[in-house]
Amino acid sequence: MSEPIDLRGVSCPANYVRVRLALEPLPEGAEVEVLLDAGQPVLNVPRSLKDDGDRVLALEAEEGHYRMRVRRGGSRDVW
Amino acid sequence: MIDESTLKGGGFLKLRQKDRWAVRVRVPNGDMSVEQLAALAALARRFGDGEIHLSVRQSLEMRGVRIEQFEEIKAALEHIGLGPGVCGPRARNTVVCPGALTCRRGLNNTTELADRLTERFYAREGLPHKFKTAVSGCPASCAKPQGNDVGFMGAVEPVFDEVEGACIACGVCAGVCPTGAITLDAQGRPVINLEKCDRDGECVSACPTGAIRASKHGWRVFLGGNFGRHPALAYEVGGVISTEEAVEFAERALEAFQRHAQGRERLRVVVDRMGLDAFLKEVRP
Repeated sequence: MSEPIDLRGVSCPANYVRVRLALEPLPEGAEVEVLLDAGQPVLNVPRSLKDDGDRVLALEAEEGHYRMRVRRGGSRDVW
Repeated sequence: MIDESTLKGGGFLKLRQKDRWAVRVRVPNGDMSVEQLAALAALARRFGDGEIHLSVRQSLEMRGVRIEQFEEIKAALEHIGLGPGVCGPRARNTVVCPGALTCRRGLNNTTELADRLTERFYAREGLPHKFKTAVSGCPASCAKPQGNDVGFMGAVEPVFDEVEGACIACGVCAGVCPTGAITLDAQGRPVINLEKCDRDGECVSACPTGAIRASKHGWRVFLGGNFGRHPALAYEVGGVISTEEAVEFAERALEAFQRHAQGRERLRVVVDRMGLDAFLKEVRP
Protein backbone atom coordinates (compact mmCIF):
# COMPACT_ATOMS: atom_id res chain seq x y z
CA MET A 1 0.00 0.00 0.00
CA SER A 2 1.20 3.52 -0.77
CA GLU A 3 1.93 6.25 1.77
CA PRO A 4 -0.95 7.08 4.12
CA ILE A 5 -2.97 10.21 3.46
CA ASP A 6 -1.90 12.42 6.32
CA LEU A 7 -4.90 14.39 7.54
CA ARG A 8 -3.46 15.37 10.87
CA GLY A 9 -4.27 19.03 11.45
CA VAL A 10 -7.02 18.96 8.81
CA SER A 11 -10.38 19.71 10.37
CA CYS A 12 -13.89 18.50 9.56
CA PRO A 13 -15.34 18.31 7.02
CA ALA A 14 -12.25 18.97 4.85
CA ASN A 15 -10.63 15.74 6.10
CA TYR A 16 -13.64 13.68 5.00
CA VAL A 17 -13.70 15.41 1.61
CA ARG A 18 -10.01 14.61 1.10
CA VAL A 19 -10.61 10.90 1.80
CA ARG A 20 -13.67 10.89 -0.47
CA LEU A 21 -11.65 12.49 -3.29
CA ALA A 22 -8.86 9.96 -2.77
CA LEU A 23 -11.28 7.02 -2.94
CA GLU A 24 -13.40 8.23 -5.80
CA PRO A 25 -11.06 7.43 -8.76
CA LEU A 26 -10.17 4.01 -7.31
CA PRO A 27 -11.94 0.78 -8.21
CA GLU A 28 -14.31 -0.91 -5.78
CA GLY A 29 -12.37 -2.85 -3.17
CA ALA A 30 -9.29 -0.60 -3.30
CA GLU A 31 -7.86 0.31 0.07
CA VAL A 32 -6.29 3.49 1.38
CA GLU A 33 -4.65 4.33 4.66
CA VAL A 34 -5.39 7.61 6.42
CA LEU A 35 -4.03 9.39 9.47
CA LEU A 36 -6.76 11.19 11.39
CA ASP A 37 -6.68 13.35 14.48
CA ALA A 38 -8.32 12.12 17.66
CA GLY A 39 -11.48 13.96 18.74
CA GLN A 40 -14.03 15.07 16.14
CA PRO A 41 -12.10 13.82 13.07
CA VAL A 42 -11.98 10.20 14.22
CA LEU A 43 -15.66 10.33 15.15
CA ASN A 44 -16.90 12.03 12.00
CA VAL A 45 -14.82 10.72 9.12
CA PRO A 46 -15.36 6.96 9.67
CA ARG A 47 -19.11 7.44 10.15
CA SER A 48 -19.38 9.49 6.97
CA LEU A 49 -17.49 6.82 5.02
CA LYS A 50 -19.73 4.13 6.51
CA ASP A 51 -22.78 6.14 5.40
CA ASP A 52 -21.29 6.32 1.88
CA GLY A 53 -20.98 2.55 1.75
CA ASP A 54 -17.23 2.26 2.24
CA ARG A 55 -15.84 -0.15 4.75
CA VAL A 56 -13.51 0.82 7.59
CA LEU A 57 -11.21 -2.16 8.01
CA ALA A 58 -9.01 -0.90 10.79
CA LEU A 59 -8.82 2.10 13.05
CA GLU A 60 -5.98 2.12 15.51
CA ALA A 61 -4.93 4.70 18.05
CA GLU A 62 -1.37 5.93 17.70
CA GLU A 63 0.20 8.80 19.56
CA GLY A 64 -2.26 11.70 19.32
CA HIS A 65 -3.92 10.41 16.18
CA TYR A 66 -5.53 7.39 14.54
CA ARG A 67 -4.47 5.26 11.59
CA MET A 68 -7.46 4.17 9.51
CA ARG A 69 -7.61 1.68 6.68
CA VAL A 70 -10.66 1.98 4.49
CA ARG A 71 -11.90 -0.06 1.54
CA ARG A 72 -13.80 1.66 -1.20
CA GLY A 73 -17.41 0.52 -1.55
CA GLY A 74 -19.40 -0.02 -4.71
CA SER A 75 -21.04 2.60 -6.87
CA ARG A 76 -23.13 5.10 -5.02
CA ASP A 77 -24.88 8.30 -5.82
CA VAL A 78 -23.32 10.54 -3.19
CA TRP A 79 -20.88 12.16 -5.61
CA MET B 1 -71.61 38.41 25.87
CA ILE B 2 -68.74 35.95 26.07
CA ASP B 3 -67.98 34.76 29.58
CA GLU B 4 -64.46 34.72 30.90
CA SER B 5 -64.03 30.93 31.05
CA THR B 6 -64.99 30.53 27.38
CA LEU B 7 -62.38 33.11 26.58
CA LYS B 8 -59.79 31.29 28.61
CA GLY B 9 -60.44 28.03 26.82
CA GLY B 10 -59.89 29.85 23.59
CA GLY B 11 -56.53 31.19 24.66
CA PHE B 12 -57.65 34.65 25.78
CA LEU B 13 -55.98 35.86 28.96
CA LYS B 14 -57.05 38.87 30.99
CA LEU B 15 -54.29 41.40 31.39
CA ARG B 16 -53.69 43.71 34.29
CA GLN B 17 -54.71 46.65 32.11
CA LYS B 18 -58.41 47.51 32.19
CA ASP B 19 -60.42 45.91 29.35
CA ARG B 20 -57.29 44.56 27.74
CA TRP B 21 -56.60 40.94 26.88
CA ALA B 22 -53.89 38.85 25.33
CA VAL B 23 -54.62 36.28 22.65
CA ARG B 24 -52.44 33.21 22.84
CA VAL B 25 -51.69 31.86 19.39
CA ARG B 26 -50.68 28.24 19.04
CA VAL B 27 -47.63 27.79 16.84
CA PRO B 28 -47.74 24.15 15.73
CA ASN B 29 -44.34 22.56 16.42
CA GLY B 30 -42.88 26.03 16.81
CA ASP B 31 -42.87 26.47 13.04
CA MET B 32 -44.37 29.38 11.11
CA SER B 33 -43.98 30.50 7.54
CA VAL B 34 -42.80 34.05 6.92
CA GLU B 35 -46.22 34.74 5.39
CA GLN B 36 -47.91 33.67 8.63
CA LEU B 37 -45.50 35.77 10.66
CA ALA B 38 -46.13 38.83 8.52
CA ALA B 39 -49.89 38.28 8.70
CA LEU B 40 -49.73 37.84 12.47
CA ALA B 41 -47.72 41.05 12.76
CA ALA B 42 -50.43 42.84 10.83
CA LEU B 43 -53.09 41.39 13.18
CA ALA B 44 -51.14 42.52 16.24
CA ARG B 45 -50.99 46.00 14.80
CA ARG B 46 -54.67 46.00 13.94
CA PHE B 47 -56.13 44.41 17.10
CA GLY B 48 -53.42 44.67 19.73
CA ASP B 49 -50.88 47.11 21.03
CA GLY B 50 -48.39 46.35 18.27
CA GLU B 51 -46.28 43.93 20.27
CA ILE B 52 -46.06 40.15 20.22
CA HIS B 53 -44.86 38.19 23.23
CA LEU B 54 -43.05 34.88 22.88
CA SER B 55 -44.34 32.53 25.61
CA VAL B 56 -42.14 29.96 27.30
CA ARG B 57 -44.11 27.11 25.68
CA GLN B 58 -43.76 27.97 22.01
CA SER B 59 -46.85 30.14 21.73
CA LEU B 60 -47.08 33.75 20.60
CA GLU B 61 -49.27 36.20 22.46
CA MET B 62 -50.81 39.29 20.94
CA ARG B 63 -51.34 41.73 23.74
CA GLY B 64 -53.74 44.55 24.32
CA VAL B 65 -56.75 43.26 22.39
CA ARG B 66 -60.37 43.93 23.36
CA ILE B 67 -62.87 41.28 24.28
CA GLU B 68 -65.38 42.39 21.62
CA GLN B 69 -62.84 41.41 18.97
CA PHE B 70 -62.81 37.74 20.04
CA GLU B 71 -64.67 36.24 17.08
CA GLU B 72 -63.04 38.52 14.56
CA ILE B 73 -59.53 37.63 15.78
CA LYS B 74 -60.32 33.93 15.82
CA ALA B 75 -61.53 34.09 12.24
CA ALA B 76 -58.52 36.13 11.17
CA LEU B 77 -56.17 33.57 12.74
CA GLU B 78 -57.96 30.71 11.03
CA HIS B 79 -57.61 32.55 7.76
CA ILE B 80 -53.81 32.33 8.07
CA GLY B 81 -53.79 28.71 9.22
CA LEU B 82 -53.33 29.48 12.91
CA GLY B 83 -55.61 29.25 15.90
CA PRO B 84 -55.85 30.28 19.51
CA GLY B 85 -53.83 28.42 22.11
CA VAL B 86 -55.38 27.02 25.27
CA CYS B 87 -55.04 27.83 28.95
CA GLY B 88 -56.65 26.51 32.12
CA PRO B 89 -57.34 22.87 33.03
CA ARG B 90 -56.96 21.50 29.54
CA ALA B 91 -54.54 19.47 27.44
CA ARG B 92 -52.01 22.08 26.40
CA ASN B 93 -49.94 22.39 23.27
CA THR B 94 -47.12 19.89 22.89
CA VAL B 95 -43.73 21.55 23.14
CA VAL B 96 -41.37 20.08 20.58
CA CYS B 97 -37.79 20.48 19.41
CA PRO B 98 -36.96 20.45 15.68
CA GLY B 99 -35.86 16.79 15.86
CA ALA B 100 -34.30 14.72 13.12
CA LEU B 101 -35.81 16.74 10.28
CA THR B 102 -33.19 19.45 10.75
CA CYS B 103 -31.22 18.95 13.96
CA ARG B 104 -27.99 17.01 13.60
CA ARG B 105 -28.47 15.46 17.04
CA GLY B 106 -32.10 14.55 16.51
CA LEU B 107 -32.77 10.81 16.51
CA ASN B 108 -36.47 10.92 15.70
CA ASN B 109 -39.11 12.79 13.78
CA THR B 110 -40.44 14.76 16.73
CA THR B 111 -43.06 16.76 14.86
CA GLU B 112 -44.80 13.60 13.65
CA LEU B 113 -45.34 12.45 17.24
CA ALA B 114 -46.30 15.96 18.37
CA ASP B 115 -48.86 16.19 15.55
CA ARG B 116 -50.32 12.84 16.55
CA LEU B 117 -50.61 13.91 20.20
CA THR B 118 -52.20 17.18 19.13
CA GLU B 119 -54.69 15.41 16.90
CA ARG B 120 -55.58 13.03 19.71
CA PHE B 121 -56.20 15.31 22.67
CA TYR B 122 -55.06 18.91 22.21
CA ALA B 123 -57.37 21.33 24.07
CA ARG B 124 -59.35 18.48 25.65
CA GLU B 125 -61.50 19.89 28.45
CA GLY B 126 -62.82 18.67 31.76
CA LEU B 127 -59.40 17.82 33.20
CA PRO B 128 -58.56 18.17 36.89
CA HIS B 129 -55.70 20.52 36.05
CA LYS B 130 -53.46 21.43 33.15
CA PHE B 131 -51.87 18.56 31.23
CA LYS B 132 -48.62 19.30 29.45
CA THR B 133 -46.68 17.24 26.98
CA ALA B 134 -43.30 17.59 25.31
CA VAL B 135 -41.34 15.74 22.67
CA SER B 136 -37.56 15.91 22.44
CA GLY B 137 -35.57 14.29 19.66
CA CYS B 138 -32.66 13.10 21.79
CA PRO B 139 -31.33 12.97 25.35
CA ALA B 140 -30.10 16.56 25.11
CA SER B 141 -33.72 17.21 26.16
CA CYS B 142 -34.09 20.67 24.65
CA ALA B 143 -37.89 20.32 24.79
CA LYS B 144 -37.65 19.22 28.47
CA PRO B 145 -39.64 15.97 28.40
CA GLN B 146 -38.77 15.47 32.09
CA GLY B 147 -40.56 18.70 33.00
CA ASN B 148 -43.94 17.78 31.56
CA ASP B 149 -46.85 15.61 32.68
CA VAL B 150 -46.00 13.25 29.84
CA GLY B 151 -42.79 13.57 27.86
CA PHE B 152 -41.07 11.60 25.15
CA MET B 153 -37.39 11.53 24.20
CA GLY B 154 -35.86 10.11 21.03
CA ALA B 155 -33.88 6.97 21.82
CA VAL B 156 -31.62 4.49 20.08
CA GLU B 157 -30.73 1.41 22.09
CA PRO B 158 -27.41 -0.12 21.04
CA VAL B 159 -26.45 -3.76 20.81
CA PHE B 160 -22.98 -5.12 20.10
CA ASP B 161 -23.63 -8.23 18.04
CA GLU B 162 -21.50 -7.76 14.89
CA VAL B 163 -24.48 -8.67 12.69
CA GLU B 164 -23.82 -5.77 10.32
CA GLY B 165 -20.02 -5.83 10.47
CA ALA B 166 -17.13 -7.19 12.49
CA CYS B 167 -15.54 -5.24 15.34
CA ILE B 168 -12.08 -3.88 14.55
CA ALA B 169 -11.34 -2.98 18.18
CA CYS B 170 -10.84 0.71 17.42
CA GLY B 171 -12.34 1.86 20.72
CA VAL B 172 -14.17 4.78 19.14
CA CYS B 173 -17.46 3.68 20.72
CA ALA B 174 -16.03 3.94 24.24
CA GLY B 175 -14.56 7.34 23.40
CA VAL B 176 -17.77 8.75 22.02
CA CYS B 177 -20.15 7.51 24.74
CA PRO B 178 -21.14 10.54 26.86
CA THR B 179 -22.28 8.46 29.83
CA GLY B 180 -19.35 6.07 30.20
CA ALA B 181 -21.58 3.10 29.45
CA ILE B 182 -19.02 1.39 27.22
CA THR B 183 -15.87 -0.27 28.47
CA LEU B 184 -13.40 -2.23 26.36
CA ASP B 185 -12.45 -5.80 27.18
CA ALA B 186 -8.91 -7.22 26.96
CA GLN B 187 -9.26 -7.56 23.17
CA GLY B 188 -10.43 -3.94 22.87
CA ARG B 189 -14.00 -4.98 22.13
CA PRO B 190 -16.91 -3.04 23.65
CA VAL B 191 -19.01 -4.12 26.61
CA ILE B 192 -22.17 -2.02 26.81
CA ASN B 193 -23.77 -1.38 30.18
CA LEU B 194 -27.39 -0.53 29.37
CA GLU B 195 -27.95 0.63 32.96
CA LYS B 196 -25.66 3.58 32.26
CA CYS B 197 -26.64 4.06 28.60
CA ASP B 198 -28.82 7.08 27.82
CA ARG B 199 -29.80 5.77 24.36
CA ASP B 200 -28.39 8.70 22.44
CA GLY B 201 -27.17 6.42 19.64
CA GLU B 202 -23.70 7.99 19.47
CA CYS B 203 -21.93 4.63 19.51
CA VAL B 204 -24.21 3.27 16.78
CA SER B 205 -23.48 6.14 14.46
CA ALA B 206 -19.77 6.35 15.36
CA CYS B 207 -19.03 2.63 14.96
CA PRO B 208 -17.12 2.50 11.67
CA THR B 209 -18.15 -1.05 10.83
CA GLY B 210 -21.69 -1.48 12.16
CA ALA B 211 -20.56 -3.97 14.81
CA ILE B 212 -22.69 -1.91 17.20
CA ARG B 213 -26.16 -1.40 15.76
CA ALA B 214 -29.53 -0.19 17.01
CA SER B 215 -31.61 -2.93 18.63
CA LYS B 216 -34.46 -0.49 19.33
CA HIS B 217 -35.28 2.92 17.92
CA GLY B 218 -38.16 4.86 19.42
CA TRP B 219 -39.05 6.90 22.47
CA ARG B 220 -38.11 6.92 26.12
CA VAL B 221 -41.13 7.79 28.25
CA PHE B 222 -41.41 10.28 31.12
CA LEU B 223 -44.39 10.68 33.45
CA GLY B 224 -45.34 13.17 36.13
CA GLY B 225 -42.89 15.99 35.62
CA ASN B 226 -43.88 19.58 36.21
CA PHE B 227 -42.60 22.99 37.17
CA GLY B 228 -44.86 25.47 38.91
CA ARG B 229 -44.85 25.82 42.68
CA HIS B 230 -43.63 22.33 43.35
CA PRO B 231 -41.17 21.47 40.62
CA ALA B 232 -40.49 17.79 40.10
CA LEU B 233 -38.67 15.96 37.38
CA ALA B 234 -40.66 13.17 35.79
CA TYR B 235 -40.32 9.48 36.51
CA GLU B 236 -38.91 7.51 33.63
CA VAL B 237 -41.28 4.72 32.81
CA GLY B 238 -38.74 2.42 31.17
CA GLY B 239 -38.31 0.87 27.76
CA VAL B 240 -38.18 2.29 24.26
CA ILE B 241 -41.56 2.46 22.51
CA SER B 242 -42.87 3.26 19.04
CA THR B 243 -44.65 6.44 17.96
CA GLU B 244 -47.93 4.54 17.89
CA GLU B 245 -47.38 3.25 21.43
CA ALA B 246 -46.35 6.71 22.61
CA VAL B 247 -49.65 8.21 21.46
CA GLU B 248 -51.60 5.45 23.23
CA PHE B 249 -49.52 5.84 26.39
CA ALA B 250 -50.13 9.59 26.54
CA GLU B 251 -53.84 9.24 26.02
CA ARG B 252 -54.23 6.50 28.64
CA ALA B 253 -52.16 8.52 31.11
CA LEU B 254 -54.47 11.46 30.49
CA GLU B 255 -57.53 9.28 31.10
CA ALA B 256 -56.07 7.75 34.27
CA PHE B 257 -55.28 11.28 35.47
CA GLN B 258 -58.94 12.22 34.96
CA ARG B 259 -60.20 9.12 36.75
CA HIS B 260 -57.97 9.38 39.81
CA ALA B 261 -57.37 13.05 40.52
CA GLN B 262 -59.03 14.32 43.68
CA GLY B 263 -59.99 17.86 42.87
CA ARG B 264 -57.52 20.21 41.30
CA GLU B 265 -54.34 18.12 41.27
CA ARG B 266 -51.47 17.91 38.84
CA LEU B 267 -50.69 14.47 37.49
CA ARG B 268 -47.60 14.19 39.68
CA VAL B 269 -49.64 14.44 42.86
CA VAL B 270 -51.94 11.67 41.65
CA VAL B 271 -49.01 9.43 40.70
CA ASP B 272 -47.31 9.96 44.05
CA ARG B 273 -50.47 9.26 46.02
CA MET B 274 -51.22 6.06 44.11
CA GLY B 275 -47.63 4.97 43.67
CA LEU B 276 -45.97 4.85 40.26
CA ASP B 277 -46.57 1.13 39.71
CA ALA B 278 -50.25 1.35 40.60
CA PHE B 279 -50.72 4.32 38.30
CA LEU B 280 -48.91 2.55 35.46
CA LYS B 281 -51.25 -0.44 35.84
CA GLU B 282 -54.06 1.94 34.94
CA VAL B 283 -52.13 3.22 31.95
CA ARG B 284 -51.00 -0.05 30.42
CA PRO B 285 -53.08 -2.85 31.90
